[in-house]
Amino acid sequence: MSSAPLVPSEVEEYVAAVRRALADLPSAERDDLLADLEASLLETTEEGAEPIGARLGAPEQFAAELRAAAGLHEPAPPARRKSDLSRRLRAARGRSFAHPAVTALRRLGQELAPIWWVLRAYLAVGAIACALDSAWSSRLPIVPRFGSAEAGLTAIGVAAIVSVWLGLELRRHGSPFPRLAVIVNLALLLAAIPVVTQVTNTSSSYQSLLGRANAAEQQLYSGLIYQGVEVDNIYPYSRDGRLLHDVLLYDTAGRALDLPAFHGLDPNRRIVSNGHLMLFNSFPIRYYEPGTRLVVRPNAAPYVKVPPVLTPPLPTTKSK
Amino acid sequence: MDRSQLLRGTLDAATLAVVTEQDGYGYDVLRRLRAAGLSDVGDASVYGTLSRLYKAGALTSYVMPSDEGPHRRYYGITDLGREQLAEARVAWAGFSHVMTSLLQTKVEVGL
Repeated sequence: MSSAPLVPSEVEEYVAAVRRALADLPSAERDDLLADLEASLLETTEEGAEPIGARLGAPEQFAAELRAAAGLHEPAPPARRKSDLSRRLRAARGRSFAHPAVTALRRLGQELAPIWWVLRAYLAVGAIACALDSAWSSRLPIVPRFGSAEAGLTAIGVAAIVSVWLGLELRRHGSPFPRLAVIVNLALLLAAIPVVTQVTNTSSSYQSLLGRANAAEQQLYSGLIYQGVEVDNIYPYSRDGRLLHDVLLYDTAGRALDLPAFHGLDPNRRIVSNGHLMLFNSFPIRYYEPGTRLVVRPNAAPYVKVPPVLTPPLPTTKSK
Repeated sequence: MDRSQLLRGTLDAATLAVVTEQDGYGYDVLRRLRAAGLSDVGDASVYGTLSRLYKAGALTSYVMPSDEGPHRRYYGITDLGREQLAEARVAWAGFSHVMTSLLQTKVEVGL
């Protein structure tokens, strides 16, 4: 190995890089700090076979360590010189960041960050939809329609993938524009206001539409309902368990409990009449065998076990 | 605790102790610190510390021509530096005594 006084270029380059990293210092101070760096590095190089960067780390890191050990401040561009107050605020922030509770919260925040990444993707798509004044899906009020609800869902999915990827990349490598990242995230958080308003409006207008449709349907409906379910036939039994036929039912107001052919009259329905009026409140409703006038099993009924009635019979009109 | 954290507060005293034995230039001081057992001390930390102690008046410096390569800047201790070293020795002796007994007690309690 040559011991010539020639300085290898890698040492020269390294010293130059350290010098650049210290460019904000007054030149006398910088020269002082760097005075014997070259000589020392030269000696280091002669001893080790490793390249200089592998042994000493990046020149910027070396410069920062040098600066810290020499008791010099971090570089602060004069344009952004911090006031005493903001320095104290930063110090306070540093202290509060070191607090264990804050550290735990920050760790939790980092673990939950992916949820925000997905949410912000949705907010971004929603904000674009709001800006474009697009329609929103009425069935899925949280999905904006870009032509169709499917396109809206696809847009949300793609945005979520991109957002999560971006989040992971920035976490791994650090953001080149940390301030910009904060501003963008805040803006997306604010976008929640119009998006949530839009979703609420869409959803409530859909609900009221549904409500009106339901009300209209109920007004038209004139069948029989028991516990919310349409009744399509009634099988009355006498107290001794016999199935009765052609029983006419009325309510308190004297209205015939008609079970009309709501969806069109079944041509096979056996119509009970008083000679000139059809009685739609006659039960059980019976159906003819198709093409005939014959009810094959007049006593057909759902399988029910009629309980014996032990209460004595009321004195009825028979006695009249 | 991380050794580098312990080092941070004690590098001044260690550097003064090395230089008080014999004047030295930057890399020489670094080598002697490492030889003494501070194997993980950073190059830049030592150079920076030397520069700071020099500015504070604890070290003096002079340039010696070298046969091979550039001139070397040697550091020697000043009266102020000796005073600081003496103070550091007292402080360290008390501190290390306390820490040693504290840490030993802890082990006994743990048993």
